[in-house]
Amino acid sequence: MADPSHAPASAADPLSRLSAAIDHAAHLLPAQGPIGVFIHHNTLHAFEHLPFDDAVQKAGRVFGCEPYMSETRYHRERTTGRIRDDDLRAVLTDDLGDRGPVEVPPGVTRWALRFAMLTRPTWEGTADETRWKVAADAIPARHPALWKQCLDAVTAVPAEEPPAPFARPRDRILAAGGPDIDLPVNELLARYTATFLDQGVSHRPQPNKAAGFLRGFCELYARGWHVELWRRELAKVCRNVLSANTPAVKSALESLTALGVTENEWDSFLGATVLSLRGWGGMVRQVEQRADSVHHPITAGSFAEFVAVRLLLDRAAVAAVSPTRERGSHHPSAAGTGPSLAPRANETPAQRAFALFQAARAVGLSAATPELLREVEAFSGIERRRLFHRAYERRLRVRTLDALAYRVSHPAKLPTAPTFQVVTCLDEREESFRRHLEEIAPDCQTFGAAGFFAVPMYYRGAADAHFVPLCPIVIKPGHWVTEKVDDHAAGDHQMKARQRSRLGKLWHGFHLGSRTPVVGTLMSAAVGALASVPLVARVLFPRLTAKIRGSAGKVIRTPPHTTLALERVQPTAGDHNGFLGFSIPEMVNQGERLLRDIGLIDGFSPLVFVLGHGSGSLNNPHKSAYDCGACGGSPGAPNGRAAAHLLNDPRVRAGLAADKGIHIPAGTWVVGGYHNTCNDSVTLFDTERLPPELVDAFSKARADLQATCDRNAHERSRRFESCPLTATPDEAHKHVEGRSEDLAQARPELGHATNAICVVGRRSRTRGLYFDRRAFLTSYDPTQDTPDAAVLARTLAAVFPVCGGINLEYLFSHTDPAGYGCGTKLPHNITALLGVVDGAAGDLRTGLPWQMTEIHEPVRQLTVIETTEAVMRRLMDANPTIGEMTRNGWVQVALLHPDTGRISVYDRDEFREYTPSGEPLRRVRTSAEWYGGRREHLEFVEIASAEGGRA
Amino acid sequence: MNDVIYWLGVVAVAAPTAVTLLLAVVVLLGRPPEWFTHRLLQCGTVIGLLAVVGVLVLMLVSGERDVKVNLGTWVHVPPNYHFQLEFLFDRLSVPFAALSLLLCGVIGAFAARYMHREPGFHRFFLLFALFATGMTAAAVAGSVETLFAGWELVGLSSVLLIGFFHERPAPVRNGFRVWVVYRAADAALLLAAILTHLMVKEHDGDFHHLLGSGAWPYEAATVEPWQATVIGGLLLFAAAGKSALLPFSGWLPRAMEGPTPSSAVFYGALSVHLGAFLLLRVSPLFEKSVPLASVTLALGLCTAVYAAVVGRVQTDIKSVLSFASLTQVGIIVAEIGLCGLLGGQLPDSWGEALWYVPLVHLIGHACLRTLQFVRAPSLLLDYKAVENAIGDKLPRATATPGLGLYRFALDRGHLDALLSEYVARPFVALFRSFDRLEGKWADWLNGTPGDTAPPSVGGGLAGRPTASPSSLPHPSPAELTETRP
Repeated sequence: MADPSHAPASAADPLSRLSAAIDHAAHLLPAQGPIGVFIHHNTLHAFEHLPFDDAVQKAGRVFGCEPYMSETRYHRERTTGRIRDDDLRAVLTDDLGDRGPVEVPPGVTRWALRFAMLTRPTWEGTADETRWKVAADAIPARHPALWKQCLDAVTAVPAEEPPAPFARPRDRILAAGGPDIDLPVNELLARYTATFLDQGVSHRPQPNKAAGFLRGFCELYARGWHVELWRRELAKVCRNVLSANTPAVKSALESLTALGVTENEWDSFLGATVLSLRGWGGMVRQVEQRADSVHHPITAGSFAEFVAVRLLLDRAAVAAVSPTRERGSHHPSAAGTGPSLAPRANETPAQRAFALFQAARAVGLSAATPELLREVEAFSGIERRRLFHRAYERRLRVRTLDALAYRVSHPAKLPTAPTFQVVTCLDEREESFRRHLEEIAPDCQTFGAAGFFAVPMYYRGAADAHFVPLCPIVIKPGHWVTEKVDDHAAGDHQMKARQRSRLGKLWHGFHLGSRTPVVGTLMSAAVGALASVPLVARVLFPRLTAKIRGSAGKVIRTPPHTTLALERVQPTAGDHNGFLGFSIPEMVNQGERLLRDIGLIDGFSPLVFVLGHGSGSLNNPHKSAYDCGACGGSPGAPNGRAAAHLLNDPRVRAGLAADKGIHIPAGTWVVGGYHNTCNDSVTLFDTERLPPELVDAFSKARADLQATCDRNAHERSRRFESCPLTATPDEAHKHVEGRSEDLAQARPELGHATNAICVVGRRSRTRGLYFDRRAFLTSYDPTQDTPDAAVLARTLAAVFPVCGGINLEYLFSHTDPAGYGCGTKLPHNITALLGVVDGAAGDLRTGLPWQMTEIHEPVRQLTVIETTEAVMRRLMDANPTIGEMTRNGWVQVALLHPDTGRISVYDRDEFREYTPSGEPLRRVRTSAEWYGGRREHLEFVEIASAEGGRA
Repeated sequence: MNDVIYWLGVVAVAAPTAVTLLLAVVVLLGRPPEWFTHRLLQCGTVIGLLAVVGVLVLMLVSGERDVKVNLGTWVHVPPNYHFQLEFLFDRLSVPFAALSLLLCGVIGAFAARYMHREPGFHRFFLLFALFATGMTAAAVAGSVETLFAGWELVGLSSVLLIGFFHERPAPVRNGFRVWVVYRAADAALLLAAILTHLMVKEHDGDFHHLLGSGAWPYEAATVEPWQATVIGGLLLFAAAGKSALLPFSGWLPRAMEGPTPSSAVFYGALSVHLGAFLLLRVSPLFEKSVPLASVTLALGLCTAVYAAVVGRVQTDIKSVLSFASLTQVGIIVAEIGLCGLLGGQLPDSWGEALWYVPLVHLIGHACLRTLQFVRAPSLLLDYKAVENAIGDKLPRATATPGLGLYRFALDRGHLDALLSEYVARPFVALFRSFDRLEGKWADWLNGTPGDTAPPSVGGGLAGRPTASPSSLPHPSPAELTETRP
């Protein structure tokens, strides 16, 4: 937020003003934490107070990133039919309003001019390319009059000067033909920051880390022998800091003065400066603020010290290139701030004239005037892309709302007495899982809930070293749960734990040893050649090797006979024995919360499954980003298991019946489970406790779940080019199993790619609709909500930041893969256990890799909520996140009226009724019939076999 | 039997070469499907590997230890220079060739999935095939020219793969740095080749005649000790550049810019060992010259200590692994020097059996490190697994070295800066002064008033832009003719 309106209130003393300015600059930095726990968030969170279009354009300028996809890409989408001319017409009419019908040159309306400019691709190129193009097409010769008018118009209308970007000393030195001082400065700063933050890659930690970021730096670099001039300068300034014991902000102030930066330039200067190493700066900030997220925390105030160090480095580098210090150099003094010397990206007259010429031709004019030029330049490339983006989103919105409206008018048959019920995460990857399950077992019922299933906890498995928070990032759990091995297996467990510990130490010692001279020599000379066996096996036969490793691992794996230590004896909660778990009233509340959220308060079937989810893959630094977002980027298996546990507890059931009015029949049993979305397996827990009378029903349901896994894998595999389209569900399942165990696989699964929709409402509104794995489906029953819509309020409070965050992170990482995303993952190099850098060294890369977002369609999420306008308006006012994201258009919001089924779309603070386009929705028998043999994004259809009624 | 080995030898070299050429033509003509490209590479490596293994088996069975594959004399410069395309299959070249083809094949299969849908997929595989060809040629080279050809292909493909992601500046910059070091090493190798021809006039540049008689490692050098020292010194310089020994070590971590599989096979396994292999190839020289062997031993040990010290403070996994590689390469080189020193002292059979130690070490290290490199992105997962197994945070070293040593390690011993400031900069300055001198002469000859030389800033290696050639004021032809008397 570099704009002055957000500048901190001026304080009396310059140090506190500078301190505030540093904090202010920090907001520009990426807010991604350590990569081991990947939390999806809006990449442009710092701009959320602005309307979407303003924000992306402004952020584009600040970060040097693309606000929308390229015009070429939109034109390609138009030729494939993804954007239709209808969409362009609709968004153009809507955008222009009553300015559209105005005739700009006589005979041509503004609307027609803009429509022509959108539908006839405008050729754009550099100054030289344009000269070439104009000459090659012989434009002056073929259209002499028009071309001359174009040139005249350009002369008559002066070009609008783009605001000069703020020039740091580095920019001025570079523009004057000097070296790029950011190269050595960033290299050194990145290396030192990685060292300071390191969580365990290097074997020797920084010896003087305790001195803090700034002092530690100065102690290191003040002394010693330096080859380069700028390092000698650096040593000098470091010695000054040490001798005067200058605190960070004071040192930063001195550096700013030395660099000649005046106070009114602080914000722009600090913003531009921290952005030149944005990944590491952001990580210092994150680790400083969330000390609980890392093993080796750093002290508060480290970010200010980071800035102080950065300025020391800049100072030293500038001093080393100033003319008095270097013989024969030609660049002017870097001190003092003058206008930017960097060449502006102004358009040449020929470029402007050619754009005007093309627009005139597109709309069929044979004359060009300065007025026309103004009109054309008002509809610049960015504006056209903005419109294209709207049309791109509109197509998907129309398709989605049409499908939902169809379901309203043609309701699906629902099972009257479901044989079993399945609760999964609301994740859009479970959309296909639920659909296939309903196709296989039309008499079952499915629900979607946030994947922590209302059981927020710190969890430690029997074979885990640490507690992991399993709940959305916005919640801080107050309870600790561990997994206990059953008594009869305890001896076995302890023996195996000791074996694992020995093996673990051996393995670690082996790896460290292989890096040392002596042990490394012995190992590589004696047994090194044996490494070729696992190398060949794991690369050439990943699935087979994984199976062998799995069987071998059984020897040391903890026995599967475990229980969750869920019930607490002591009154307060803590992380040690006696204080672990929840009290019965807490469990009752959690059970009620889960059931009410999804609207499952009666009509329980004999079997209810609660399936958490996660993803298992190898060689994947971004693995956590594939795990459950509602479990804070960890696998949600323990949550499913815990929810089942507490709902089966007779005391909890009694509490639910007595206090909450939810009667779970005695004949109902809840089974916890885990869906691995990468290899599509479902693991069910504690099945030995199943009541005997349910065994048959359970086996049948489990078979249905297994078959669902095959089909789900089959549907997913259509997106993998390396899986043939002719594969059977069984082959496809083997294919995805291989992917999850493959060291060489850069796309173990595609994560949330293609997500675009979020439906908050009853499953009856979506059952039997094919949403192509693009819709988050949150179960919510408006008919059971409290009058003040408390259930919806808490549901949306999670859905907006979590689903919206996922959607926006994918959107930006796809729109500018190198700027907002972290580029291709092929050269990624894990650094400090906190993140990845590209190749050998450099800045930490944040955002998502291209392999995750490649097939994504960057559209803002269309959130369809089954509620009334009055309720929604109240929630928008009550919850600032919901209100801001809706009003500023970070999500598209539509409402589905619970009673009438009418759909209305939020637009400029109004809910406007939506009229379906009238295109019929295709009806196919099964999902496979529709997606079979096709790899591209598919239209939404109705699936006949998913309708209930087998019972 | 020898005929069969001969033909298998031809196949071993021809298979990767043919694949490279075919791939180059196909990629030039159009965009083949991915499966075509990687299957083709696999064919080349598998056929080559089978042929090499065949050679190995037949040599073991027949007891034949030394088979030459001579593809004729291509250039003859009277009186006694012959350019011969000659390959040598013996106990040194066959294992190394087998290792090269095995690792190229496995990593090729790895890359087929890893590089899937990458825009540079075919470029990667073409360069990779070029690398496999170069490695095979260098491994089984029987003459110094053949070795040089393979050596050059390896260098070229390495550098182009370091700069694979050429849309970013860092890979290109680092690739360029490696290229400069490689060229310096190449120059030394070429110089050594020329000197060898000059010193040993009778023979045609194949290792056998140049350096000794008998099959590896039972060779005995025929050159004089001083000649061995000179030639060996140049070869050691070449090996130091290629294997990132001191003082060139700075390039090794910088070479990690390419995709993970190429980093793995090049800098964990093959490229980085090529220098050590060159020294093994000319092993008789070390027995002949004590100074050479001593310097080699010292250089290897210094490199190993340097890499071990520096490697311990690296915070990214690829740098950690590259310094770990370098530690072992240093030790292998030291072993070679030691073998040279001891070889003459011990009884023959012992002294010669000793030479297998560095070879076995090299092969074992290559396999181990490749596996570690391809698993590098699993680091988070591995650390978590170990933490869970031992039930606690990972142990870290607590005894900390002094700040001075730590700073030395963090700065990687200032090696890059030293080379830039004290080698590259004076070198560039020298040639700049020649340029100015030439400009003055030209001015004098032209009779134009002495215009100053074009402004120029810094040297290329120091990361500074150099004056582009187009900015130099060239006199027009008309000017030249007018002013000429």
